[in-house]
Amino acid sequence: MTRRALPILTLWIFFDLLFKAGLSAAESPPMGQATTQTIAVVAGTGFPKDRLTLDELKAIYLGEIHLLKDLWIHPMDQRENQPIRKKFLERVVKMTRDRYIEYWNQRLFRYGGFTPLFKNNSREVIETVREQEGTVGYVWLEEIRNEPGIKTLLILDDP
Amino acid sequence: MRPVGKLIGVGLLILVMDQTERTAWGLEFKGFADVTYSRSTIDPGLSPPNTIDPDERNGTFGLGPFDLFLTQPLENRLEVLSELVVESDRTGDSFIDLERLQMSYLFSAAFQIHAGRFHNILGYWNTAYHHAALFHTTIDRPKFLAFEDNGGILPVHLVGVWLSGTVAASPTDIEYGVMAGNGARIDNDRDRFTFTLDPGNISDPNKNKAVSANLAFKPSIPAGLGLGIFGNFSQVPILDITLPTSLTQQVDQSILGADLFYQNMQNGSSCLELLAEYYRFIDKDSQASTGRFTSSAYYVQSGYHLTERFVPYLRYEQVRIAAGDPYFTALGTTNSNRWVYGLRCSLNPSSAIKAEVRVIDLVGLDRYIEYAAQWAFGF
Repeated sequence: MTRRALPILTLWIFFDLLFKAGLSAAESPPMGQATTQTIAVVAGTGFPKDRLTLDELKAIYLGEIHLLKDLWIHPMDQRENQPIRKKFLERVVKMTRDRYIEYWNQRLFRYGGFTPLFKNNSREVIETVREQEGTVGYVWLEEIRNEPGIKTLLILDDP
Repeated sequence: MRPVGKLIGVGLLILVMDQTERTAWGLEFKGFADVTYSRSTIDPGLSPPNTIDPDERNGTFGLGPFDLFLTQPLENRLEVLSELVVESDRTGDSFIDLERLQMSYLFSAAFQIHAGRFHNILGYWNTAYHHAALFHTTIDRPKFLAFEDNGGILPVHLVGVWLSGTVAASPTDIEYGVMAGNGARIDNDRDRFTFTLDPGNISDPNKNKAVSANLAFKPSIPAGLGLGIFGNFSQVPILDITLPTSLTQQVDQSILGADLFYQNMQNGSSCLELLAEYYRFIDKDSQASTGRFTSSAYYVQSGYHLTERFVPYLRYEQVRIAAGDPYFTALGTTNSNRWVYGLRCSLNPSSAIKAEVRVIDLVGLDRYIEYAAQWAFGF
């Protein structure tokens, strides 16, 4: 019994480790992408504020602040396949993906306004905040080193 | 829908499309619809007319409103919002209703001014869910909150101007609103026999404008709680078009109420949902010395989000009409109790399947059961 169980157990552990390694590889960012867990909230240099508090940022991403000094404020989200999005929702709005979508659908229907704009990746976020006044987005901190024409409004360190 | 309404709708569409040409930034266009199966054990001989579609005894599939929602911020703090609904009646004909159309100017979050057609600021439900079944947990609105063209007893729409705002403060945010516009009327110009409430889309039958006001408190603790008070004051003429002088009665009406809402969406996947609204109607026939009549209606609804998908729920509704109340006598409203038990399954944030059983007690007239299932979705 023990002789049979031992190879089965060994195989089980081997495949389990292999599976977890595969998952881990799938979840880790591709080569060349930042590995830090620190999120930077960024905007163009013309954004009407130089700093945001966490509460202000949350209010922007929940649509409660959409106008600052005569300027429409457009928050930007990243696509769901970007790990940063899940992290941002957990840290800032404290909602799951489904709840966040439900929240925005209901809010839009009730109050009007506009929902966050989706961008495919951090590069698109950086380019948009640089070019479009009033936009605000989030990227990994490492991705904005030496990026001209943008300013950092808030740093979200990994707790 | 009257030609003027259609013209306004087309005009709005052209305006928004013109703006879209310049910038698609912030344009939001969404659609909502539902398909509902319902079956009832009602005895048409015992219930008041227009209480229910008698075909529902056979089991009936019905298309809900096809809701086209559009909003876009324009330049210079302006914003436009519209909700255009395509509905079908019992004859199978489809028609278009411009349910909401509002042009807004945003001075700030604390002060905004709107003009157009709105949902009246009465209670929580009427301004939260509008015409999309996807958003409310249950299949239908509470019966006494039905839309005017569906046998409703409340002026749930209003054409006029609206001042609103949110004041962020500690320990509670405060939302306020004041509306003034055309008053509603009760008339029988649809089929000469049935009296229905008409919100007055293009005219007001008298000089007294209807006025509504609300005040809602949203404390930071507990998060997700909202408490509100509201009122509506108007003069409602009752018109019988079959008579040489159509005005039969003129009702001075005050509607006062309070509402409560609780749902903490940030509290993980499991959470309690609680909704309650109370309405008090004070009606007086201004042309007769019959005194004041006080009637009331309320509902309490609760659901529990077992997971993000499954929400079992229940609701109790009660309507109590004062004997001789001219407003409710004209509308044929009777005392009733309704119990609703159901289960909602959200397939994803844009689609939900609901099933429910309703026990309806038309006090002293009939007691029957309705079964219903609905697939509501948005895109």
